[in-house]
Amino acid sequence: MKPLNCLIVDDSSVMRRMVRRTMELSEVPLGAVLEAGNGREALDLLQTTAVDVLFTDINMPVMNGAELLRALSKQPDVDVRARVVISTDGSEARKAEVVGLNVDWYLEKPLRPEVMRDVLSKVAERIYG
Amino acid sequence: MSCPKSQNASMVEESSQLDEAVAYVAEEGFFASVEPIGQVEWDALCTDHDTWLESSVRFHGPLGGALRCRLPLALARELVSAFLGMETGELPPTDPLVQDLTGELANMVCGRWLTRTQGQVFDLEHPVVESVADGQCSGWSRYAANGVPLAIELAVEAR
Repeated sequence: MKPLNCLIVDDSSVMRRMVRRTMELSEVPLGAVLEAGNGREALDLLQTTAVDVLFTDINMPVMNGAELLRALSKQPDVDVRARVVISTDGSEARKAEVVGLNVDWYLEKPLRPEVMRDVLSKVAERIYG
Repeated sequence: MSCPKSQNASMVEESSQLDEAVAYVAEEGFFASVEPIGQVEWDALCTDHDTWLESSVRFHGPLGGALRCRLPLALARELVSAFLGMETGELPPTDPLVQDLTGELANMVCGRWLTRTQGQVFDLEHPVVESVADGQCSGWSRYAANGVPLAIELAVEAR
Protein backbone atom coordinates (compact mmCIF):
# COMPACT_ATOMS: atom_id res chain seq x y z
CA MET A 1 0.00 0.00 0.00
CA LYS A 2 1.32 3.41 -0.98
CA PRO A 3 1.88 5.73 2.02
CA LEU A 4 -0.76 8.43 2.50
CA ASN A 5 0.30 12.05 2.33
CA CYS A 6 -1.78 14.07 4.80
CA LEU A 7 -2.42 17.71 5.68
CA ILE A 8 -3.69 18.71 9.13
CA VAL A 9 -5.28 22.18 9.30
CA ASP A 10 -6.03 23.57 12.77
CA ASP A 11 -5.19 26.81 14.56
CA SER A 12 -4.39 24.84 17.71
CA SER A 13 -0.87 23.40 17.74
CA VAL A 14 -1.80 20.91 20.48
CA MET A 15 -4.70 19.64 18.35
CA ARG A 16 -2.45 19.24 15.30
CA ARG A 17 0.01 17.31 17.42
CA MET A 18 -2.74 15.06 18.82
CA VAL A 19 -4.05 14.26 15.32
CA ARG A 20 -0.53 13.58 14.03
CA ARG A 21 0.26 11.31 16.97
CA THR A 22 -2.94 9.34 16.51
CA MET A 23 -2.15 8.92 12.83
CA GLU A 24 1.34 7.68 13.63
CA LEU A 25 -0.08 5.09 16.03
CA SER A 26 -2.41 3.69 13.38
CA GLU A 27 -1.29 0.83 11.15
CA VAL A 28 -1.84 2.88 8.01
CA PRO A 29 1.43 3.69 6.20
CA LEU A 30 2.02 7.43 6.20
CA GLY A 31 4.07 9.55 3.80
CA ALA A 32 4.46 13.27 4.44
CA VAL A 33 2.31 14.70 7.25
CA LEU A 34 2.04 18.46 6.72
CA GLU A 35 0.49 21.10 8.99
CA ALA A 36 -1.19 24.47 8.47
CA GLY A 37 -2.55 26.91 11.05
CA ASN A 38 -5.51 28.16 8.98
CA GLY A 39 -7.28 27.73 5.65
CA ARG A 40 -5.15 30.30 3.83
CA GLU A 41 -1.90 28.54 4.76
CA ALA A 42 -3.44 25.23 3.69
CA LEU A 43 -4.59 26.62 0.36
CA ASP A 44 -1.12 28.03 -0.35
CA LEU A 45 0.47 24.68 0.51
CA LEU A 46 -1.94 22.77 -1.74
CA GLN A 47 -0.94 24.85 -4.76
CA THR A 48 2.48 23.23 -4.72
CA THR A 49 2.05 19.97 -2.78
CA ALA A 50 -0.25 17.02 -3.48
CA VAL A 51 -1.94 15.40 -0.49
CA ASP A 52 -4.20 12.37 -0.29
CA VAL A 53 -6.11 13.34 2.86
CA LEU A 54 -7.06 16.73 4.27
CA PHE A 55 -8.07 17.00 7.94
CA THR A 56 -9.49 20.43 8.70
CA ASP A 57 -10.95 22.29 11.66
CA ILE A 58 -13.83 24.71 11.00
CA ASN A 59 -13.33 27.70 13.34
CA MET A 60 -9.97 29.24 12.47
CA PRO A 61 -8.69 32.81 12.02
CA VAL A 62 -7.79 34.27 8.59
CA MET A 63 -9.66 31.60 6.58
CA ASN A 64 -11.93 29.08 8.27
CA GLY A 65 -12.47 25.46 7.29
CA ALA A 66 -15.74 26.03 5.42
CA GLU A 67 -14.06 28.78 3.37
CA LEU A 68 -11.13 26.47 2.65
CA LEU A 69 -13.44 23.67 1.46
CA ARG A 70 -15.42 26.16 -0.64
CA ALA A 71 -12.20 27.46 -2.24
CA LEU A 72 -11.06 23.90 -2.97
CA SER A 73 -14.37 23.05 -4.60
CA LYS A 74 -13.63 25.80 -7.13
CA GLN A 75 -10.14 24.44 -7.86
CA PRO A 76 -10.58 21.04 -9.54
CA ASP A 77 -6.86 20.95 -10.39
CA VAL A 78 -6.04 20.65 -6.66
CA ASP A 79 -6.35 16.93 -6.12
CA VAL A 80 -7.30 16.00 -2.54
CA ARG A 81 -8.73 12.50 -2.46
CA ALA A 82 -10.43 12.57 0.95
CA ARG A 83 -11.62 15.49 3.11
CA VAL A 84 -12.25 15.08 6.83
CA VAL A 85 -13.66 17.82 9.08
CA ILE A 86 -12.69 17.76 12.78
CA SER A 87 -14.65 20.40 14.70
CA THR A 88 -16.10 21.31 18.08
CA ASP A 89 -19.26 22.31 16.18
CA GLY A 90 -21.38 19.17 15.98
CA SER A 91 -24.60 20.90 14.95
CA GLU A 92 -26.65 19.49 12.09
CA ALA A 93 -26.76 23.03 10.70
CA ARG A 94 -22.96 23.12 10.38
CA LYS A 95 -22.82 19.63 8.91
CA ALA A 96 -25.43 20.67 6.33
CA GLU A 97 -23.31 23.71 5.47
CA VAL A 98 -20.28 21.61 4.47
CA VAL A 99 -22.01 18.51 3.10
CA GLY A 100 -22.02 19.91 -0.43
CA LEU A 101 -18.29 20.62 -0.29
CA ASN A 102 -17.06 17.06 -0.91
CA VAL A 103 -16.60 16.28 2.79
CA ASP A 104 -16.19 12.53 3.35
CA TRP A 105 -16.22 12.41 7.16
CA TYR A 106 -17.31 14.89 9.85
CA LEU A 107 -15.76 14.20 13.26
CA GLU A 108 -16.49 16.04 16.50
CA LYS A 109 -13.96 17.22 19.04
CA PRO A 110 -13.02 15.91 21.51
CA LEU A 111 -11.82 13.14 19.30
CA ARG A 112 -11.07 9.67 20.57
CA PRO A 113 -7.87 8.18 19.05
CA GLU A 114 -9.71 5.02 17.97
CA VAL A 115 -12.19 7.09 15.91
CA MET A 116 -9.30 8.75 14.12
CA ARG A 117 -7.58 5.42 13.45
CA ASP A 118 -10.83 3.99 12.11
CA VAL A 119 -11.35 6.88 9.70
CA LEU A 120 -7.76 6.71 8.48
CA SER A 121 -8.14 2.98 7.74
CA LYS A 122 -11.35 3.67 5.79
CA VAL A 123 -9.64 6.45 3.83
CA ALA A 124 -6.76 4.13 2.89
CA GLU A 125 -9.20 1.37 1.96
CA ARG A 126 -11.19 3.72 -0.25
CA ILE A 127 -8.12 5.11 -1.99
CA TYR A 128 -6.19 1.89 -2.45
CA GLY A 129 -8.92 -0.74 -2.20
CA MET B 1 -42.96 37.79 30.86
CA SER B 2 -40.98 35.19 32.82
CA CYS B 3 -41.82 34.60 36.44
CA PRO B 4 -39.00 34.05 38.99
CA LYS B 5 -39.80 30.34 39.20
CA SER B 6 -39.29 29.76 35.47
CA GLN B 7 -36.10 31.85 35.59
CA ASN B 8 -34.80 29.58 38.35
CA ALA B 9 -35.70 26.47 36.36
CA SER B 10 -33.92 27.92 33.33
CA MET B 11 -30.79 28.70 35.38
CA VAL B 12 -30.75 25.17 36.82
CA GLU B 13 -31.10 23.68 33.32
CA GLU B 14 -28.35 25.95 31.96
CA SER B 15 -26.03 24.95 34.80
CA SER B 16 -26.79 21.28 34.24
CA GLN B 17 -26.05 21.59 30.51
CA LEU B 18 -22.74 23.26 31.27
CA ASP B 19 -21.89 20.49 33.76
CA GLU B 20 -22.62 17.92 31.04
CA ALA B 21 -20.39 19.72 28.53
CA VAL B 22 -17.49 19.96 31.00
CA ALA B 23 -17.77 16.31 32.04
CA TYR B 24 -18.06 15.10 28.45
CA VAL B 25 -15.01 17.02 27.22
CA ALA B 26 -12.92 16.04 30.26
CA GLU B 27 -13.74 12.36 29.95
CA GLU B 28 -13.66 11.98 26.15
CA GLY B 29 -10.74 14.27 25.45
CA PHE B 30 -8.56 14.00 28.51
CA PHE B 31 -9.64 10.80 30.30
CA ALA B 32 -10.31 12.98 33.37
CA SER B 33 -13.05 12.62 35.94
CA VAL B 34 -14.95 15.81 36.75
CA GLU B 35 -17.53 16.58 39.43
CA PRO B 36 -19.22 19.83 40.49
CA ILE B 37 -18.10 21.07 43.92
CA GLY B 38 -19.15 23.77 46.40
CA GLN B 39 -17.31 26.77 47.77
CA VAL B 40 -15.81 25.04 50.82
CA GLU B 41 -14.28 22.22 48.81
CA TRP B 42 -13.12 24.71 46.17
CA ASP B 43 -11.31 26.82 48.75
CA ALA B 44 -9.63 23.72 50.17
CA LEU B 45 -8.45 22.50 46.76
CA CYS B 46 -7.15 25.96 45.77
CA THR B 47 -4.67 26.14 48.65
CA ASP B 48 -2.35 23.68 46.87
CA HIS B 49 -1.92 25.88 43.78
CA ASP B 50 -0.23 29.23 43.25
CA THR B 51 0.09 29.37 39.45
CA TRP B 52 -3.11 29.68 37.41
CA LEU B 53 -4.13 30.00 33.77
CA GLU B 54 -7.31 31.42 32.29
CA SER B 55 -8.56 30.85 28.75
CA SER B 56 -11.51 32.54 27.13
CA VAL B 57 -13.29 31.96 23.85
CA ARG B 58 -15.85 34.31 22.36
CA PHE B 59 -18.70 33.02 20.21
CA HIS B 60 -20.99 34.73 17.70
CA GLY B 61 -24.16 33.54 16.01
CA PRO B 62 -27.81 33.42 17.03
CA LEU B 63 -26.38 34.13 20.51
CA GLY B 64 -23.21 35.98 21.44
CA GLY B 65 -21.05 35.53 24.51
CA ALA B 66 -17.92 34.04 25.97
CA LEU B 67 -16.81 30.99 27.92
CA ARG B 68 -13.88 31.20 30.32
CA CYS B 69 -11.91 28.41 32.04
CA ARG B 70 -9.64 28.94 35.02
CA LEU B 71 -7.36 26.17 36.22
CA PRO B 72 -4.03 25.66 37.97
CA LEU B 73 -0.97 25.21 35.75
CA ALA B 74 -0.57 21.74 37.29
CA LEU B 75 -3.93 20.65 35.88
CA ALA B 76 -3.16 22.10 32.45
CA ARG B 77 0.08 20.07 32.38
CA GLU B 78 -1.77 16.94 33.48
CA LEU B 79 -4.43 17.39 30.78
CA VAL B 80 -1.93 18.06 27.99
CA SER B 81 -0.06 14.87 28.95
CA ALA B 82 -3.27 12.84 28.80
CA PHE B 83 -4.26 14.50 25.52
CA LEU B 84 -0.95 13.68 23.84
CA GLY B 85 -0.26 10.36 25.57
CA MET B 86 2.83 11.63 27.36
CA GLU B 87 4.13 11.15 30.88
CA THR B 88 2.85 13.80 33.33
CA GLY B 89 5.59 16.37 33.78
CA GLU B 90 7.29 15.46 30.49
CA LEU B 91 6.54 18.93 29.11
CA PRO B 92 8.11 21.92 30.91
CA PRO B 93 5.59 24.35 32.50
CA THR B 94 6.52 27.04 29.98
CA ASP B 95 5.94 24.85 26.90
CA PRO B 96 3.55 26.65 24.50
CA LEU B 97 1.52 23.42 24.21
CA VAL B 98 0.39 23.86 27.84
CA GLN B 99 -1.13 27.29 27.09
CA ASP B 100 -2.53 26.04 23.79
CA LEU B 101 -4.23 23.12 25.54
CA THR B 102 -5.84 25.52 28.02
CA GLY B 103 -7.35 27.41 25.10
CA GLU B 104 -8.47 24.22 23.38
CA LEU B 105 -10.23 23.12 26.57
CA ALA B 106 -12.37 26.29 26.53
CA ASN B 107 -12.95 25.83 22.81
CA MET B 108 -14.18 22.25 23.20
CA VAL B 109 -16.44 22.96 26.21
CA CYS B 110 -17.93 25.97 24.42
CA GLY B 111 -18.48 23.99 21.21
CA ARG B 112 -20.09 21.11 23.06
CA TRP B 113 -22.40 23.44 25.01
CA LEU B 114 -23.46 25.34 21.88
CA THR B 115 -24.03 22.13 19.91
CA ARG B 116 -26.18 20.58 22.65
CA THR B 117 -28.18 23.65 23.61
CA GLN B 118 -28.49 25.70 20.41
CA GLY B 119 -27.88 23.34 17.47
CA GLN B 120 -27.20 26.23 15.08
CA VAL B 121 -24.11 27.54 13.34
CA PHE B 122 -21.78 29.59 15.56
CA ASP B 123 -18.38 31.12 14.92
CA LEU B 124 -15.84 30.72 17.71
CA GLU B 125 -12.90 33.10 17.94
CA HIS B 126 -9.37 31.86 18.57
CA PRO B 127 -9.02 31.36 22.36
CA VAL B 128 -7.08 33.87 24.44
CA VAL B 129 -4.93 32.46 27.28
CA GLU B 130 -3.29 34.38 30.10
CA SER B 131 -1.76 33.82 33.52
CA VAL B 132 -3.91 34.94 36.45
CA ALA B 133 -3.06 35.55 40.08
CA ASP B 134 -5.31 33.00 41.79
CA GLY B 135 -8.43 30.86 41.67
CA GLN B 136 -10.81 33.54 42.97
CA CYS B 137 -13.77 33.49 40.58
CA SER B 138 -17.01 34.43 42.25
CA GLY B 139 -20.16 33.19 40.51
CA TRP B 140 -18.36 30.68 38.27
CA SER B 141 -19.25 26.98 38.09
CA ARG B 142 -16.70 25.03 40.10
CA TYR B 143 -15.46 21.50 39.57
CA ALA B 144 -12.86 19.05 40.79
CA ALA B 145 -11.05 17.53 37.80
CA ASN B 146 -9.02 14.53 38.96
CA GLY B 147 -9.15 16.23 42.37
CA VAL B 148 -7.77 19.54 41.06
CA PRO B 149 -9.86 22.76 40.88
CA LEU B 150 -11.35 23.86 37.55
CA ALA B 151 -13.76 26.82 37.18
CA ILE B 152 -15.90 27.70 34.17
CA GLU B 153 -17.88 30.86 33.47
CA LEU B 154 -20.41 31.07 30.66
CA ALA B 155 -21.63 34.58 29.84
CA VAL B 156 -24.37 34.98 27.25
CA GLU B 157 -24.95 38.50 25.95
CA ALA B 158 -28.45 39.93 25.81
CA ARG B 159 -29.91 39.94 22.29
